[in-house]
Amino acid sequence: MTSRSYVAGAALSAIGFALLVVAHYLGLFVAPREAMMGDVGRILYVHVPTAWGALLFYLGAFVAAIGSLWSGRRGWDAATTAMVEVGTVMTFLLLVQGSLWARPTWGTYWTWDPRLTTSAVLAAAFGVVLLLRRLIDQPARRATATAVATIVAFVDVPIVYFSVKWWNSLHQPVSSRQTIDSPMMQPLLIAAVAVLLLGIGLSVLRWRVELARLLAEEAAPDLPDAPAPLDLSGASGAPRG
Amino acid sequence: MGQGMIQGGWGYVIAVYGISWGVMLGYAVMLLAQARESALARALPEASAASPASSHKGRAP
Amino acid sequence: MTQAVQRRLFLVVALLVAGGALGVIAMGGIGENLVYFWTPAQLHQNSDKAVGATIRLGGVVQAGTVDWQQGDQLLTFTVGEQTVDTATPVVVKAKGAPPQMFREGIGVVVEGTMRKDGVFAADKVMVKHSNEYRAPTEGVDPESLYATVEEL
Repeated sequence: MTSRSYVAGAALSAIGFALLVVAHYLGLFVAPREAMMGDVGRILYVHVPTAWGALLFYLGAFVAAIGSLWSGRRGWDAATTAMVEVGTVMTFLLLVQGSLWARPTWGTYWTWDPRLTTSAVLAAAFGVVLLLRRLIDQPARRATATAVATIVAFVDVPIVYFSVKWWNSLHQPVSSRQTIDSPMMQPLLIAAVAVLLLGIGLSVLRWRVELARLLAEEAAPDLPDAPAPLDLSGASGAPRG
Repeated sequence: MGQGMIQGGWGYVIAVYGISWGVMLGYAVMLLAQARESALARALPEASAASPASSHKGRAP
Repeated sequence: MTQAVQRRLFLVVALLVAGGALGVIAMGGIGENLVYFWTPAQLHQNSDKAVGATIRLGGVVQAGTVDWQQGDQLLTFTVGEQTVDTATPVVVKAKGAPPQMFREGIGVVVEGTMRKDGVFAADKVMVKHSNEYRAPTEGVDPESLYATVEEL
């Protein structure tokens, strides 16, 4: 049996991938090469949407973490986990992409510039959130720890964003419509929408997987801290052991 | 010494696009498989996820 | 204390900690520890600390100062605050070819140390790209391109 969330997650991911094909086709073969960076400038269409996506899904995780602590519902706990993981996949990609872009343009794969340093901290901080989650068995305690750690790790998100304004950096400042020529803006914006849809789709799928795990865990009889029987409205028959 | 502009460098572009697509597609396929498996194995009732009674604290009356 | 109250207490504490930490950093609390490079003027102010220590200098490659000795692979140029900076330029010497985008008028960050004779010995020359992405114009005058990367 498939479910609505499975279909929605798969469909959004597919639409995201399809749009990304369009954006990257335009970026790689239609858009002009950048005046200084030449063809290497085409990395823009992958790197910048990934950065926006990473920060955005961490923002989503932050909101879900607040929801989780406020309500105590496992749906929010699963949503927090899902978006932390999607954001972390994107942040990992962000660091690799940036490094491969930095080598031909800046002349180095890595330097401890404020933007790069705070981005590496971002990946590490949310990596710890995911690790922490694996280390705690008791569901309520795990949900609380995940949410609190997510809120604390989120502090780095605005710092990453503002790092290029607050401190001297090698990384360029935030780009805008004024600093990007229109033939380059179009594939960039399409790629940004694509990454947004893809990220939402993947988050829905991940949320579903996490929720199934949490439900299975609660249904398992040998847990030390088995909760009282739940009123699974609409559930037919006892869950499998 | 160059002319102040980057010549070539398609290798970096291909590497970035390749790694990014590879990781995202791989992650998507993994999640689809896991989500499908959980759907097949449990016939998970959708409603329970959003139902107010499904607090993981188990303090339902 | 019920679990709900405890959870919401955690929420308030976490938000306060997060907000406080962000506030401290935004107000410059760790600003001094995150100095990635010194500008030429800052380098002169800290000249006592600059000799022998590994430091970074950031600025603009001054027009007419680039000298590249292909045979010795020796690069010499002057870094100033702006494109034309007569007040605080620093002479930089580096071994090896710089990144392809290196040219007069571009922003650079060099890593190395200050020699006693006032020359910056760079181990690493890094080129700064501005936040501008421009389509190349046909028959463009290279000089006009410099204008886009002047602001650092």
